[in-house]
Amino acid sequence: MNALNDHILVVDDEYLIAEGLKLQVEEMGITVCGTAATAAEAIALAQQHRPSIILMDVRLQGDRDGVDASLAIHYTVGSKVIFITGSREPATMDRIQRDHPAAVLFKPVSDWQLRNAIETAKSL
Amino acid sequence: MSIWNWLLYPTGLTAHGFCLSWAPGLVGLHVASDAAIALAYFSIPLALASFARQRSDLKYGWVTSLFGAFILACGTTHVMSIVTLWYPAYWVEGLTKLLTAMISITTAIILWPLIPRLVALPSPSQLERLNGDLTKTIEAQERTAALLRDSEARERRANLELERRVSEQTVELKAANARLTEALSQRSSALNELARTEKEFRASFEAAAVGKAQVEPGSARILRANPAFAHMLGYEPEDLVGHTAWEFTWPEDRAEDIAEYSRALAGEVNAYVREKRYLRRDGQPVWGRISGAMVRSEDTGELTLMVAVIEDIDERYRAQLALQSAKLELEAVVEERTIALQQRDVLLREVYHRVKNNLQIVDALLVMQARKLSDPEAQSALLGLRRRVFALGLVHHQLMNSRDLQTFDVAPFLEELSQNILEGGAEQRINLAVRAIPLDVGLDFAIPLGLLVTELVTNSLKHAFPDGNGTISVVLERAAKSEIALIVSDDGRGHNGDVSPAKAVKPGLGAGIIAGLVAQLRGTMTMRNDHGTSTEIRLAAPVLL
Repeated sequence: MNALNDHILVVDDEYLIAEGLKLQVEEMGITVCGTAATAAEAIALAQQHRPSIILMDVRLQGDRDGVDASLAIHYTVGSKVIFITGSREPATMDRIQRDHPAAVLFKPVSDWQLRNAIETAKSL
Repeated sequence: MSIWNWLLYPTGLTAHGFCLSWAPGLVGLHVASDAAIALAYFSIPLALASFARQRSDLKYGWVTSLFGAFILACGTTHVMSIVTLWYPAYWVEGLTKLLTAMISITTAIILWPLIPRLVALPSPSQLERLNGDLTKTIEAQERTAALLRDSEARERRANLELERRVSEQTVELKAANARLTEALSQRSSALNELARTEKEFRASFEAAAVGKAQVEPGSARILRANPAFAHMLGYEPEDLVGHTAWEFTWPEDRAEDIAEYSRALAGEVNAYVREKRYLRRDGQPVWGRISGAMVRSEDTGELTLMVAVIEDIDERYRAQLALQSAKLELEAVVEERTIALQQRDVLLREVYHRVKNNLQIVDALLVMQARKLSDPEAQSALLGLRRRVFALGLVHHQLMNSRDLQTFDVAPFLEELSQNILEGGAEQRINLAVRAIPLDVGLDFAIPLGLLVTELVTNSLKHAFPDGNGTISVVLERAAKSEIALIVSDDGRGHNGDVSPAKAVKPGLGAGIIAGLVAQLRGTMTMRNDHGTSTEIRLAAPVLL
């Protein structure tokens, strides 16, 4: 497995949220290699840019969700995944936990929470 | 001359010896012969007398006396012959001879006619023969008598034996009689006891409030029923007697009931206990609970009776049925409600999710807007807005995490909220101390409270510590009269809300928000500036619905 770039991929099917997160990350001085709205897009971008960290929404457009995308990326790229979800449904949480997440954040996400999670993920 | 001389010495006469010339031989001969004759003659009467005395039975005994007298007289003449040898007592001699002659003649005269009579007397041989016959007769008689005695003795023995037996049997009879009497008396007392028991039993049977019946085991025919049982079915006891129990069993319950009864009869089950419907006289069913026990003969072990107790459980049963149906209805309602609640939960989670998502969008918009602004004051204002948005989002997050989706414990919420505000600030070294009582709150209380904490902590953060060192404390505690107190304080320099000393131009947004929310919560606020700033807000404790 080749080395990963020190970039972050943002995955959220809400454009504004993806943009907001992107700005938040950029304000921390980290490059965002792209934003994706679907699982397929996310996998493609991840494989293309090989980001070290992915901010992943759980609910995505299309038939596959963030957990599916994360699994695929985990096996093909190996990026660390920080889940950002609006819900904490037990079923979803179970699936997330099986995916060895670097962190789980709940919307709305504060700057401090995001910075904390990214720094923790980097150190893993 | 005396008579005596005349007799013995008649004058003139000489002694006879003289005539014999006293020839000794001759005189001697006479004396001796006469003496011998006399002696013989004298002894014969003695012998005769002795004989006659010994044979007192002799017939004609007086003849011997006559003989005796005759021979005695003869003897005396011979004595006189001797006497006359020496004495010439011829008179005496002659008189003697005369007497002798008289006696002899008399004797002779009497004797002759007597001879035939004497001859007629039985001879000794005859007597002996007679005696022998007699002896035989006597012996025969004695034998007969002996036999008689013997048989008498046997009879006596037999009688004795008989008497003994009779006596024994009498004793036995007496004993038997005594036993019989005792038995009769016992039987009588047993009968009395039985009668008493029977009376008591009848009383308990007849007067019992619970139904009772006695049934012939094989046929299930009712032998006896008490009023309670009969009335339960709308009958009188005599209406039931003679009918089988099945006639009063609800038709649909009969088959199963008979089967169970048969099992009890066969001894497969210990007792016959059923809850079943009876058929009332009016055709209506009535629920009863029957407990039957089989009574067996002590001797043969055969079933003799079934005694049953029948309780009227109609009311209870109907109540049970009603209860059951009510319970089922209730369960259905509960299930419905549970489903509704689950649906509500799903909906609520979805709503919270969307709220949070939207808040994230608002946050994103603020971030994007801030990027376009160059004015630091404007950027700071947007940061303030982001903090408030975060507070709203955190409340929803807590709600989503709670079990009922409506209330949550305020303490961890305040901790996380304050921490986030503090860490979101500049790179200051400010300590945070949060101490909150556990308190369940709902959305309506948590949002104003969260916003108040946000404003107050932000104020302290902004104004209290120009040198960037200090402690901010957030306390939620119980106050008097079901009130709670929120106290946010710092140990920095005193300040007056968000009125910045540098730019004290007009009251900021925060102060207005604080005043408005305190009013909304019907609380009171006091502020002190004493080694830092302390703001205490008193609120009525939230009442959860």
